[in-house]
Amino acid sequence: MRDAFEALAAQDPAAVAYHHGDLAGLTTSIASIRVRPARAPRTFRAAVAATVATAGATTAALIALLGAPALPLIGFAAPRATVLYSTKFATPSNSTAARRSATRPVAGALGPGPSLAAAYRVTLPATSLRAIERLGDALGVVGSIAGYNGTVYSETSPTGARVIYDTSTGLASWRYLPGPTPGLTPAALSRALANQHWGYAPDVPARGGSAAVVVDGSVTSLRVVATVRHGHVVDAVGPAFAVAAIVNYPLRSPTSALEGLSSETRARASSFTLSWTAFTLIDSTEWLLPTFVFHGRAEARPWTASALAIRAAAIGTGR
Amino acid sequence: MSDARDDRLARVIALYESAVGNYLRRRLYPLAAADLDELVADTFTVVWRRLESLPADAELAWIIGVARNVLRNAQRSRRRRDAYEGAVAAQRSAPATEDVVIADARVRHALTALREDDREILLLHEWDGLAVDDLAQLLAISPDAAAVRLSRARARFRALYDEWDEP
Repeated sequence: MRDAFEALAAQDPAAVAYHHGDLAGLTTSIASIRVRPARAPRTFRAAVAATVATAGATTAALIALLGAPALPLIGFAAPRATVLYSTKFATPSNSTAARRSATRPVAGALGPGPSLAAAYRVTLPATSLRAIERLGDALGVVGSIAGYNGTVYSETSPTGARVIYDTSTGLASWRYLPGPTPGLTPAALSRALANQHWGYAPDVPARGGSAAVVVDGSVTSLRVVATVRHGHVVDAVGPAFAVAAIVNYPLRSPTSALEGLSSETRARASSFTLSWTAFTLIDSTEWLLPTFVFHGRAEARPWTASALAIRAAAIGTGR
Repeated sequence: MSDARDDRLARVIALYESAVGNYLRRRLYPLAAADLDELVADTFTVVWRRLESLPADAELAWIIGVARNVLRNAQRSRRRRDAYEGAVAAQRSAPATEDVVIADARVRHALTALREDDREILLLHEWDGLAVDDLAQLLAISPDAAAVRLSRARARFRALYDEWDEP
């Protein structure tokens, strides 16, 4: 049986971390407010970061969940994990038979799902200081580097452009804020980020919005989010990680995963998708693990709940 | 003055934007998700106006305190407007966020059975990750008092959770 505080953590309405959609605009507007009558308004250099991942305290709860012998319901809307929304299952690569078996479309009514799926162990691609230097060089943002608490680093150019590398919670994240000068186009930003040796090829949406991060063919719940104005990026954020290992796991059936959840959840779930979500394990390693996202309706509104698609006890064993 | 002030605001937003947004999202009801960005902006606008009052050793707690006031004001305005428009009757005790968003009936039972001050300190610690010193700063009590109140709230929550029998 779950501990009371594990159950409470699993019900956190902010399991999906908040990010403002237009931080550059937000900071500009706030800093333009006069705070003293004599103070002349002026344009504020855009400079904002945001975390991509989980809060530390809530990660601890997830760690406990993963150590439990029985799979629990994870969260109110989505697992306490890295970014944003659940995504539809998509086609993994054909590099192994195991991963190929997971490519069958599984969205739809509850029933037998794929038998195997890959899990990805991910790590920081570089030390924070080196990462911010590389990022700044790639994006043409060269200037002063500042660090906050040893976990958040930013580099700011003389024109006010800024890049940020944040390792404060869960997976690291990057952010690009060109400031008052025209930023890179989405395509140019994608190309520049492609050389960062991350575990995915950043796909910055051409018209802004968000795009799912695809790791080795698996569509994850991680997102790259960008604001684009007049063809240029004014704000973009996404995760940063390297894939250190790939392990194939046998999957539970969606039906058996549901059996561990509450009767209320079982009654609501009518279909599911498979997604990959970031978790921190007991040994502090970071993984992208296959997760069932159950869909249904509650009080006439869309409803989702999530559960690990593999047995928690199997994590780390590959069985 | 302005450069240092701007830099401090930039650093504060860089570090706490997500924490503030998460805090507000957890307690948003009866406001809508569409109100969230505006509440975050209102919070940092107050921070900007009162930047000189921001304690360097307790920034998060102080900013969460600002968000708490911003949210309460917005919720009061919303309830007054709803009552005026007749959408809902003005209630002395409106449902709390936990009543609306918690899917786990057992957790919902335990939370709603807690006293309001117990529920607040429990969720600030368990969901928002505030430590005892932060709780003391935010609630304007001593660290010893915060530790006692948190311990008491956790014990009561656990007891209520354990006593629940699924219907």
